[in-house]
Amino acid sequence: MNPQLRRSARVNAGVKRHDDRYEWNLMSLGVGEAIQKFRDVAADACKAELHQLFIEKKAFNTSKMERNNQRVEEEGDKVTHVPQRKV
Amino acid sequence: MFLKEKYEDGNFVKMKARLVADGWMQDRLVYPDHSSPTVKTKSVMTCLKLAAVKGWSLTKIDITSAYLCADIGRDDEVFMILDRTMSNLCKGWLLEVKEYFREDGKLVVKLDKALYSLIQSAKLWYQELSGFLLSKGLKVCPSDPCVFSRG
Repeated sequence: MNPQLRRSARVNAGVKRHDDRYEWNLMSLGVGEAIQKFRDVAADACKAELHQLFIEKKAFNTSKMERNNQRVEEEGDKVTHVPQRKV
Repeated sequence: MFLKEKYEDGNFVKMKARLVADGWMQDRLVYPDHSSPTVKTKSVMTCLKLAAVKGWSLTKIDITSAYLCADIGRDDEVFMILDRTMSNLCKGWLLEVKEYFREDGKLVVKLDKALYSLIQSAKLWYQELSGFLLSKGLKVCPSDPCVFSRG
């Protein structure tokens, strides 16, 4: 199935001169499955996303496991709100 | 994780990945009020009618990665476990320190921004945007919390 052409809003707004003719095909794939199927292309895409979230957007940062475990021991249920999965 | 292919003249060009948090795993009892207001259709139609009658010019903007502009408050702490494949991708170039990784090789991260798919992300983004607009002197419409006006 040929995906529909996505019109560039930036060209319409006059921000960009040239309209890149591109088409997007949305997929819902797991990381493992995507890497298995598309190899380095998928891995590079994941790395770019991680770079954006970690460094550019600073959306999250790493958390040391020692400190987390220590807090769980000290504060118990106050710091854990993870519901159990229903099977 | 959503991946998109980019095509140019029928040839595969590139792929984009989007990391989302599994918000369904969050405890909803912790967030009793997480709803975010959305603009009413009546408000949109009223604005369009006013613009047409009074000859106003209309414009629209797109805020890229909007949710990621909103900070998670200091009172709230959200941790996320990246799966083993994603964690392995961080090794070598992003993270060298082993103490961040769990014994099973997964990486635990603390969220600072409202990542897509979190329960509270929409509300945080609304608070961020409305706070900015109010700081610029705009006033919120009493009948629709998504409409702001000056004067």
